Amino acid sequence: MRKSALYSLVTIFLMQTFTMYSQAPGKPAPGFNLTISEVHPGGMIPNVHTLLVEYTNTSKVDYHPNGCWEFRGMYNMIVLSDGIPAKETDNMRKLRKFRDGANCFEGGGLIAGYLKPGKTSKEYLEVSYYYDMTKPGTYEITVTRETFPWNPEKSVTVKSNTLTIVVPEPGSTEPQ
Amino acid sequence: MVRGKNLQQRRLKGTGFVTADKATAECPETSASITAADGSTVPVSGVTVVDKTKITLTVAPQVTDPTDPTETATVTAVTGPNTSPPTPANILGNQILCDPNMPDCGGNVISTVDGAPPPVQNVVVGQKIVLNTNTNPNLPITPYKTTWTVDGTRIKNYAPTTASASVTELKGMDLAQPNITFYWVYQNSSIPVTVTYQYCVNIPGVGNQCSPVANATFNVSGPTGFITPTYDPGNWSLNGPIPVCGKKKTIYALYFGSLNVAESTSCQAVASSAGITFTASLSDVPSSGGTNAWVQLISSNTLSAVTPTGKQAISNYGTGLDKSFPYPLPLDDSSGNVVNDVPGSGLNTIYATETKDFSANMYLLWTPQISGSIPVPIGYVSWTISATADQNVGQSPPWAVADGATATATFTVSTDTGAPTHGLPTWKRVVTAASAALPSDVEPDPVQMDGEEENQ
Repeated sequence: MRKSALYSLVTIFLMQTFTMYSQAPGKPAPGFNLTISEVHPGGMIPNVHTLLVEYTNTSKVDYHPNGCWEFRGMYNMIVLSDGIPAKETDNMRKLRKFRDGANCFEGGGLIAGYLKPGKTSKEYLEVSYYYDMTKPGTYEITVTRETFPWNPEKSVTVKSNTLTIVVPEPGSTEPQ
Repeated sequence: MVRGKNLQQRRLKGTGFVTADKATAECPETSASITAADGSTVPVSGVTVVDKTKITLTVAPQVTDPTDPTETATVTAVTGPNTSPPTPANILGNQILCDPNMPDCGGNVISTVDGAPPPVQNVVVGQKIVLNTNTNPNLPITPYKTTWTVDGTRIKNYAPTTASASVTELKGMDLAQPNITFYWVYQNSSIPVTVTYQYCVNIPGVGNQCSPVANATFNVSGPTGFITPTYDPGNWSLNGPIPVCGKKKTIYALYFGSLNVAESTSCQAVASSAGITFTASLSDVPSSGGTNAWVQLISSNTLSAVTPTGKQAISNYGTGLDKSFPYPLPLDDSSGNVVNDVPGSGLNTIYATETKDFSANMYLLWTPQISGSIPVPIGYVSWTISATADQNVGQSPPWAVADGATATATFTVSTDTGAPTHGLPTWKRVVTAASAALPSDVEPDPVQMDGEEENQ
């Protein structure tokens, strides 16, 4: 109970009210922005951290996502542990390898649905499935997404707000 | 005191004596006894506690040596907690308390020990229940046995993540601790469930004594729900030609639902309609509110192929959690009340026919909005689909859905199916396109099945 409460206490949300992206000359402006926060869909489970990624369609056209789960968001995660890139898990390495040789039609089911202009979708991203977050310390997490994942010449990187999660020392009662 | 002088009236002086009119069950009237130097008991009678400093009594020493003036005896006045052979009613600290962090009943004594009906506590399925006991701090003896009983389907924990999900049962060791933490899985508000607590001690010179049984009663409320599967066995579609990423070739794909072929590539598969949609409707939702989470467990997912010469091959994509925990929401409905699926596979031109078989259970979980809660199951839809794609070798169109495609879906209310999972979905692996990748454009292998680990 104490540990669960502690996880709640040490989760700090740093919300930013503007979209961050790297605008380059000649590249289309992004038609979306991203906001992340921490949620607990499975309850408070030690060392498990799940993000709620809110994607807002800021364009004037419908957004038809990739129905393939691995690419649907095509999200990338920047996870720093005390300022240093956190260790990837095997799951992240597998995902990256799969994305490199993409074929959505090999056995996986798709998700149907699209997003109208001005609407926001909600997606879960279990960041601790892809990055080791068991080590005590301060984790800074940012989610990014390319506007054209398959066309680097046109693509712009959109960044979410940065979320800070403090993983306390085992047995400690105060946030580090 | 001098022996040989029978029936003497004596007066004891001291402090802190308890008179009869001030006595309580926990602090009875002071008693007095006289013990001779040899350890024998000297008969006394007429013990009267006059006030807190004075006791009178009549002693009758034995006449053994009337001339011995030095023979003495010890007079003992006993005041304080009753040390007479204890009865169960006198073992204290046996009440059940809600943990201070529990809403509504936090910190309160919620049990009775005298047979009176305890006050009914209102809790919610999935809520963390933490019960403490107020063991008597003055008790110099550690209980040799502590016993909790908890009615209803209760578990110690449930921890679903994308990697795995397991149920931790409440075992005998957990039921033998001074405090207990657990979760109720199913609502039972129409028949209040009971929790009892008792401890037993061994008192030297007396023996084993057990406290009265403390009884607490709970109404466990929770939502009831239904999942409506919307589908049509004719929802199967043949989609193509679809460009393969990075290659100058196209493929066709068989899907339950349909693809937006114009916008799709092999790495950018855009579904234009779902094969099946699941819509949840909940009723009797507790005032705490709650959130939904969906879980799909794949029980079968294969693609069976036959070459023009009759050779057979089968690819088994494995069983386990589908995609992620929770199951992804559609972009056009983030309410948590709707999810969908578009299962299918790409097709390989070396085969004359390919048959997609897929079956799964789609679960709806609900978590109360109370700190520390876990998800509990509401119900699930078991669904099965099957269709064959025929390449129509030498004919047009190049691929078509053969006659005989099927789809069935049935809703079931979640119930306790017994240990160890008690009706909660569990898994040990996740199935994604990444984990199920198949080699393409290869010669068919003989029929084979992968030895996948079964779900629990």
